Amino acid sequence: MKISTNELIASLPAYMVDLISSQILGESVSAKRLAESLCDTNRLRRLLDNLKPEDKAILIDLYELGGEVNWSVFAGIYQHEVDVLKTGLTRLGESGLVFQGGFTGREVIIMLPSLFSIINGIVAANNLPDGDLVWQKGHRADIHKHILMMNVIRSGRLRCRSGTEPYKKGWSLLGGLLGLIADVPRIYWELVELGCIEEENNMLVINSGCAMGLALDGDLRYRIWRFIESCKGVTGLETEVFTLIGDGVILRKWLSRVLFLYLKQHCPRLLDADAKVSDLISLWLDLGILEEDTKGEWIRFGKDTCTALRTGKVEIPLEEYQEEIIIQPTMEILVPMDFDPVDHLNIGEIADIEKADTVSIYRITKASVLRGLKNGWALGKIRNFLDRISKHTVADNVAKTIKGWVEAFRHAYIIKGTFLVIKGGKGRISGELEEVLPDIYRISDKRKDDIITSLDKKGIMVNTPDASFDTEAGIDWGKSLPLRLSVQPGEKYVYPDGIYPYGMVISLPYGAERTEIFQQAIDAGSQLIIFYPKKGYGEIQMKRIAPVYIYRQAGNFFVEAFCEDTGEGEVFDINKIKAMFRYKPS
Amino acid sequence: MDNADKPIIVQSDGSILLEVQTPAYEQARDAILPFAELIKSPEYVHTYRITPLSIWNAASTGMKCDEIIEHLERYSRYDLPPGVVYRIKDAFGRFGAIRLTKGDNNTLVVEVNSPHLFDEITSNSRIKAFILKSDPRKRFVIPADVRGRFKHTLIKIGYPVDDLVGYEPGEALSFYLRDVAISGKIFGLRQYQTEAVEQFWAGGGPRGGQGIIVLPCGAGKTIVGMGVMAKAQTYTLILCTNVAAVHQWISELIDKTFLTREDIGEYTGIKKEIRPVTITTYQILTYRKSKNAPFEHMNLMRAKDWGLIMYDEVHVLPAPVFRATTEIQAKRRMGLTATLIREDGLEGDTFSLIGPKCYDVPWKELEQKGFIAEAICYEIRLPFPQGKKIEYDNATDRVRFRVAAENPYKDIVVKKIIEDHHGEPILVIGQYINQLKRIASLLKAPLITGSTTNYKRDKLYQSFRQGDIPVLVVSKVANFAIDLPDASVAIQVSGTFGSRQEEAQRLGRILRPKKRISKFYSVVTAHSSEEIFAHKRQIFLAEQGYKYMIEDWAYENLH
Repeated sequence: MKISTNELIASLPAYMVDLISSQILGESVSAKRLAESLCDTNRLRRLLDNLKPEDKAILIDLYELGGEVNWSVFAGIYQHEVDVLKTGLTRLGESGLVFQGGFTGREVIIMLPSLFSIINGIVAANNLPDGDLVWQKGHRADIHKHILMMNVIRSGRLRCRSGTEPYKKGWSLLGGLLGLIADVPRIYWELVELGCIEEENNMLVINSGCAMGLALDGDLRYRIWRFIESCKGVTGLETEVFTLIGDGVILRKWLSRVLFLYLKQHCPRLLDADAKVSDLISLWLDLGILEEDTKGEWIRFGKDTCTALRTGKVEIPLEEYQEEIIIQPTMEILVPMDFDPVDHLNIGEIADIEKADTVSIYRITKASVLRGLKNGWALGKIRNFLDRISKHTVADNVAKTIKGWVEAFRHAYIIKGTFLVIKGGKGRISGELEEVLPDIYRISDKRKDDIITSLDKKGIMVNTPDASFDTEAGIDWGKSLPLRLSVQPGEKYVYPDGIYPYGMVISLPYGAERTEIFQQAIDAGSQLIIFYPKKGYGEIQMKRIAPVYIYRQAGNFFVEAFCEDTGEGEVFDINKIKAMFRYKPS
Repeated sequence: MDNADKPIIVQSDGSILLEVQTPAYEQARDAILPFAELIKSPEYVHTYRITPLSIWNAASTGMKCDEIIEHLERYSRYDLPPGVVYRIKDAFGRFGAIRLTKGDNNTLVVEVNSPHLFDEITSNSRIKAFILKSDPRKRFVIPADVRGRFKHTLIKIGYPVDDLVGYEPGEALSFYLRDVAISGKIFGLRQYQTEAVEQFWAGGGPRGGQGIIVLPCGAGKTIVGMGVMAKAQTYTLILCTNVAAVHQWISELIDKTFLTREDIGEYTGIKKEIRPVTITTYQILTYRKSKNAPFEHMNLMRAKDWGLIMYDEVHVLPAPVFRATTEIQAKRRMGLTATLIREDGLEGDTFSLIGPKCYDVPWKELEQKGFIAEAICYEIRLPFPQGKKIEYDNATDRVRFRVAAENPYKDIVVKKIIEDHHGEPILVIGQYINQLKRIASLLKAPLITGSTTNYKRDKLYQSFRQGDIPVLVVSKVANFAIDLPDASVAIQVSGTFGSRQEEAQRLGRILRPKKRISKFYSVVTAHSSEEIFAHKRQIFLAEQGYKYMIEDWAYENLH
């Protein structure tokens, strides 16, 4: 809420206090007294208790919208029931519960700030379950299928177009292996977005750093990433959801309504916000971010998710993952879907995936072992790894076969080194340096600095290449944790024309109806209160008039009336009348 | 039972992984065996597969669809994939949807349980050709003599037929099993053999009388065959893979039943006897003078009023015999095999023409009960001798394999293994005759090849059985159905390019029950194409659940 009750009362034009207080309280009182009455908790409770349900719903919506909302947004929320909204707001305005800025009727709607704490209590009470809730142990999204896909790509050697789009054959391979258990395109593009799949010379490659980052951060981090991604496009939605539910529970229908309001407020042009809300809640439940009770009425955050969002610590209990798997004497590795993702990822380096399913089947082949060796695995490392993850002793034939393959490979090496290039350097540099090509000497990294210093002393400037950067950056999860609650106060509305109880000040209609109002007053002999600009300044003044005659001059309509305030007859240009005060019907 | 302890995992494609070392392994195995085919059984996790055929096999035994799903749910570690449940229900719904019963005047009545299905199958042009008359959207009539072709056509479009027509009894034959065999040994059917016989026979009604018994090598499939013959009491035709197997059947029948040699006919290339029990080979049945000439001996199938036809090693049944079998659907038919897997993928033909699987028992269970021998496989890897490596490197791919297979160092290894197993009956098996001759000569052991006469073969087998010959060198002619009861060591010096059937059959030679653990050695040249094929064999044997050890022999061991 951007405005306080005092500010609200202060925004009422002084000349209106009498009128407004008599309309709201039934008696004319001072501004101070009006403010006290508006803030009177007992009065407010009494009013709330006696509200029609639809009016109460409007008020609670307004509360959930932060107490202030643009008319256009509010009208958008009630797009099929704008009349109901207007009627309800008018009733609420008559009780001094809802106000609106300006005269146009299209400006911001403001809830009486004193209502906040009371409605807060009502909402909290509504979201207290009667008894103990039984929670469903639903599905929880995991990275198992992502790991599988990366391992397929590792062993599949897939070609791709620019933009990391696999060719038809690649999609077909991915679909063939993973189609039964996974939404292949979604997982693929998620991996691309996370940087785990990259393009290199028209081939798909796995970025080891990102892949390992994904595996290390685990299922929970992935779930949170999906949650935050799903909130993209609606500023602060994830924070709103987290603030709303926190450690507690919430009625599903309540959550839906609040999210609906939030979407309408932040994306007024969004069509079918109801469906979007329903989809989001279903998605979060599917992800395991939210949990649902068995009756489907209540919702809460998963405990681990809540902790992670609050503290930024993404910790998965070790017991969530199986740490041992079966390595068959047939060279097959059977990997269940709840296997440790880090080890699972490593399996893909030394074995080819044959089948992705509830239990995925990998096969250790000569080619896969060669791939492992190229990626820095050695026989000992493979053996130790298999021994560690295997539930049973690794069969003799498996160990010996791998050993045979490793021994059969012939090795060539590419070595990285530091070389000093110096023309005519002989005599200037230490004789111990090995000249590998004319004027090119190989130097050890350890001695590099000494050599540079020594050459420097001899007046030789040594140009060194730029420091190299590690190209295997870790995974980028986008928005970091913990979620920070928004503390920005937001823009404060300015109300140059003042604030009035909703519906008490109405703008004049367009067209013929505009003059009809005055004609009706003439016919009935009644008074009207109009808001009319002062001559020269543009400042608005209130006039209590009794219309007498309407005429037209130079295309404009004028009303001749007796002004109760000045006690004189005056002429008013109807087009210049800003608004008029509407009496509560007695 | 805690979920983590549950032994089976049902995969989305319908395969089932069964973890062996879990408390409920045996119950789970017994529960799934009726409706799932065992694909492989390595040491830790066995793989089964649910297929329409396996579901129909189960349905034919009276199992209910709900029972199948309930068994899966009870033992499954994870939720059942919905697709699998759907496919089971769909396959199950197809069984019994079409029933075949006897009609009047040499006709058969086909009853279809839904008008929709009736329309579907009768709109098939091949089915339409069989129809004599039809009762709209309910049943139709076909001639009795197209029974086999009709069933075969339906299976091709995905519908099994519940064949309740029954069988011709065949000409009566008095057939009884001995309590004590002529050889002097106490004889009787083991429990699982009796179960297999009862399952097949099914009280003699139309529900039984056709089907396949799946038993591992050495588990006594011949005995089960004799058990069924004792039930049928009728003229019987037995089809085998080769002459040695024919002789084996003859000697077994004489030894363990009251039949005399005069009751048993041998119908082979040598003899053409047709008697109450006649034993022949697939080879002679499918013999013809030229590619377009008729099969001269196929009439044997109708030469007598056979009441029972037995197909030994039914997984290698050749296509012409399948065709002939379509014409004799009124006879009781039994298939015997160690595996339902066919290299040609014709499992559906076996199902529709011979019958559904009616009994299966995993070999591991029989091994645990001592009915078949425990076996360990060894692969011994050798280097090339100096000169051979150059010859190998310069050869074409096909020649390379032969150069590696005939590595002369293998002779040394074979000799060493035989020394280590002194006193045990040993078979040396190989592919290349020159190599086998060389080894036979080195070992001073007799050699059996394709050119050895049947008489000489039988004599050598007999000597080997009696222990007069400790080592027998054989070529691939010995792959099928010879019974060498006391062979406990087999040394494979060369083989075809990784054939699974060949490997199973060779191993089968040492699986007859015995006190000692059988050993199966494969000698291969390291870092050669032979090693690649050996790796395939290694995988196959490991899939069968055998322990597979690898030994590297260096130059030092060989000199």
